[in-house]
Amino acid sequence: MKLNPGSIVPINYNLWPKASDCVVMAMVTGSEGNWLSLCPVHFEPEAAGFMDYVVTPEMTPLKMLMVVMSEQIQPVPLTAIDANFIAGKDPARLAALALPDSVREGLLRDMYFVLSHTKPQDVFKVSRGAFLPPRSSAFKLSQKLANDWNRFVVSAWQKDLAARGLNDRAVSSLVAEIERNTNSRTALSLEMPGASDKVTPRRSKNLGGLGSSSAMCSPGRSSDELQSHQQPLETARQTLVDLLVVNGRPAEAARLADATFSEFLKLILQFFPLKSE
Amino acid sequence: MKLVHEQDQLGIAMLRDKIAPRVRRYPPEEYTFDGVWRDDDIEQIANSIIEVLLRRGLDRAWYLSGAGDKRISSNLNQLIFNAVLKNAPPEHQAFYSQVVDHFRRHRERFAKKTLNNRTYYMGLAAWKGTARGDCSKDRKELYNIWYRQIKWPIMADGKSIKAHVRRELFYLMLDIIDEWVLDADFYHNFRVLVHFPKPGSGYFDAPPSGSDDDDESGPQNANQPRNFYKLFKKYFQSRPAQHRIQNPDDSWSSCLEEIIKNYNTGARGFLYYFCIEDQNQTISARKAGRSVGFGCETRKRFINDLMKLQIDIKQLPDVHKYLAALLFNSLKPEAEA
Repeated sequence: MKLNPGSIVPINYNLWPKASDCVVMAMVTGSEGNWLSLCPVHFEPEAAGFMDYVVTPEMTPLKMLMVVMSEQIQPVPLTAIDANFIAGKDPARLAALALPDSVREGLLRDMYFVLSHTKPQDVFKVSRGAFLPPRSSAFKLSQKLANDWNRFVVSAWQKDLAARGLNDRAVSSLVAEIERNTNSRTALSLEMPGASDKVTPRRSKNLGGLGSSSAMCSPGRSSDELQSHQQPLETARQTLVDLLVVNGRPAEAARLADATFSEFLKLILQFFPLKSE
Repeated sequence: MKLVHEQDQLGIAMLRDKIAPRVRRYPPEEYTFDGVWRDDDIEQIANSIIEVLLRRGLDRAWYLSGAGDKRISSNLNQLIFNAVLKNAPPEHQAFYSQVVDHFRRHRERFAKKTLNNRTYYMGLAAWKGTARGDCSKDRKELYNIWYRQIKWPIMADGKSIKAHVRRELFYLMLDIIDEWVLDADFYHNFRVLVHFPKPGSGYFDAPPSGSDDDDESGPQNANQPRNFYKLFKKYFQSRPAQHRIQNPDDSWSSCLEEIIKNYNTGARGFLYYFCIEDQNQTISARKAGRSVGFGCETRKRFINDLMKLQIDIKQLPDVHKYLAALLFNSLKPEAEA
């Protein structure tokens, strides 16, 4: 089935951390073949942060209060979605989750508005969460949800890549790179010049990913940082390029060699089909 | 959940039947005013849970997510607990936020562990990964040890024990026993040893009056920016209910911007940490690179400036959100420089 951007879909709970009791779904923000980009949707309004888009029950035919964690958009393989739902085996749920195009487009537009507008004049234009005090239980819950989501993303890639018959070295390098690119949830914090040394510094100058939906496309990293980040990716790239060359697929190898990370993931899903497919 | 989701009355009746026994599990002497679970109380709690469930569309969300029975049951239990605590006497709500929540909030010092997913033990975080035994002493023995070896402050007239003192007491209690202690025994004895007001005794009926910014006097929402709300105490005290704005408009936003314009970077930094991150006054001043005295002056000045606003108490969450965005955006370029 085709997953349109703006759709709300059930995730594959076999990949969700076993110890987590959180109930989440996901919003599709992009799709291309077996590649999707998703962001988590939860149902705890008190844990809605300033960068989260809050969808009230009257805004969609779903009639659910949803919190879209727009900063946590991540690329995932199709296997991250509930298999029965994808296979169309659950018509009742499929029908309940079907949204008119205008509603889906509206959800997506408003979600990106929340992500890109933080000025005071814009804060009431689209419903969004509040600034959560970093020590509050609401902030900790939102942090937990983001961490669970990151583990889910890593687990989805790990299982999917292994099911494509890629060798362990390539899988582990890629998973390391994906893990490095997941966003941990941090408070919208500021570090003032001249702050006293006695205050424990917060995690660097992380502004909560303002303006960039994912670290995977965030600009402005230092060259040293980029170099150390690229190492596992380059290991995986070299391994897979060699594999394609050995299998007599030089054109595909060339495309993989030049791809950006996000493009690289899409190409892997395209060039290395699941063993059962 | 599927039946509830389909608005089936049978589904709602079944849910009601599931809620009642779960509510009765909570000790009535702590969670009810007269020490016994009455059918009316349970009916009221069940109705409030079902109301929240349907209003937020949680029945649909749980069903459509396919999260599985275990997760749904756990989420339902949390919803039930929230409703039970909301209906509990204020003294128990205060005990929960001052003691139970407080213990959990300090994970760097304290830890909890479970046995068979049912029994909870409390200990020090430093014990994690060490072979500490589970305490076999009964409640009375523990009481005697703690009574003899710790100098206990008494909550006379329900006045709360300062948060840092409370933390030290938790630490001492566990350090003396040097083994994992059953949570029920720990909380029960703490309650008795400090003479925490008994549920229904009426000590926490009045609104909290404490001015210590590291303290929690009485029940309150731990997620609210407490410092920010306290700034408006004088504002609302000086405007009796009958003189409050009947039709507040949005002009408060431009007024707030005018106020903030007159604050320099240090003062805005202090307000950000104090009102938005909800840090205490000392930490806020240090994080803003200013002295504690500067922080104190800025707080007083801001309280006076806030008197210029024309707002209703219901607008405070909006004012907080606007102020947060205002301060954050004005400080961001300077923090990044």
